Amino acid sequence: MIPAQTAVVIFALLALGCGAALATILFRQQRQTGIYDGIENFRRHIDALSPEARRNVVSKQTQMRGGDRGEPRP
Amino acid sequence: MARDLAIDLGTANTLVYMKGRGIVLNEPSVIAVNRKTSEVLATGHEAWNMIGRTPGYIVAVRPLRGGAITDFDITERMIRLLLQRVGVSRFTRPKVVICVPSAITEVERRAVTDATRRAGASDAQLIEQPMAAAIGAELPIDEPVGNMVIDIGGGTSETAVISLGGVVALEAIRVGSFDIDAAIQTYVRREHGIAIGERTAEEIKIQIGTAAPMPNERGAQVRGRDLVTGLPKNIDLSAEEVRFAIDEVVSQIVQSVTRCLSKVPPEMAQDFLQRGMYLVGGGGLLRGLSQRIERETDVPVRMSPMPLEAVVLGAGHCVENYQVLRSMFMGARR
Repeated sequence: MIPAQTAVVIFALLALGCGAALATILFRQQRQTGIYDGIENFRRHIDALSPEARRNVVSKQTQMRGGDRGEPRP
Repeated sequence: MARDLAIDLGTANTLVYMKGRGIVLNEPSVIAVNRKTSEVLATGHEAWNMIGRTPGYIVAVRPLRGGAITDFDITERMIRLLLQRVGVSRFTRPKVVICVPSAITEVERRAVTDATRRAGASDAQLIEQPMAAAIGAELPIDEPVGNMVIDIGGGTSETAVISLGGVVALEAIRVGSFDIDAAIQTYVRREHGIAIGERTAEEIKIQIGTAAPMPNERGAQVRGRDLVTGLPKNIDLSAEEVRFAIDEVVSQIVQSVTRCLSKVPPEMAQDFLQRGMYLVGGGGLLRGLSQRIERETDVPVRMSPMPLEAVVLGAGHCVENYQVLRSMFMGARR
């Protein structure tokens, strides 16, 4: 017969081991990049460089230029 | 909350783009310093007006040459003043994206980022000028086609081919429109025996400078100091003389474009014939330059609608999409 105290220690050690293994698996999974991550990132990158995405920055400047042609600034 | 900034720290002009606001500052990269006390007396337009006209104790200088920092201390102070002027304080530390020439060395890169961080930025990232120029010139760099951009600045000329958001071929030389001014100064000194200043040489370039024969060319009267008598003297300078004076510098720029074209994969060559290449930067405004490049490369050359602002607008777009476009910054790719 295993004494109750030893059983508790063994159970605790097993639980700790399982917990550590689970944490390692989760950590590795998080670090692994999925096969679609590269595709997704590249698509986001390209979308951010599309003329539609850039239009706001350039049109704002064009509008400012248009405004400059009007009343002279003090 | 600090608004993030993009800075085109050019040899000739400095432009600042503020996230959500657009271009908030555009002025010459010049700083005037008191030699005795090391105090900054003026920056930008005010300092530019002082060039060549200062008493002995004031020095008006351009802290950047060839796109590189020649005086670290003065550059840092200039960046600090720029950031202060656009509202950056000790408590608001923005992220800053700075446009630099692609041929910049590791030491120069560190000098620029250190100067910007010390001046009050929480993070300083660098982006290559031709890449920023292509973004700002609204070229379709998101497509799998060759986009060629020629950026002629004050101290550097860079030609890049960009496709799918990345650089395919690049050619950079430390020759720019200041070298054109210097060539005019040298010619006038050698052929006419008079000394002229930097600003006069620049005015001659703007007024009558051409890179190729143009219709309705005219001359100009130039005032300078006679090298023999030391007295003020007027001379007449023709556009043809100026073209001859600057020909060597212009040839170097055109040759760098040709070298870049020769590095391009053959599949892309047809893209250029259809779409042409785009000129940006103040140097691109030299009359006849696009015709000269077109004549020597057989590729159509087009002028960007906003040649002076294209670089900072491109960097501004990266600031607006900081996280997504992080991979375009120089440190991220090396």
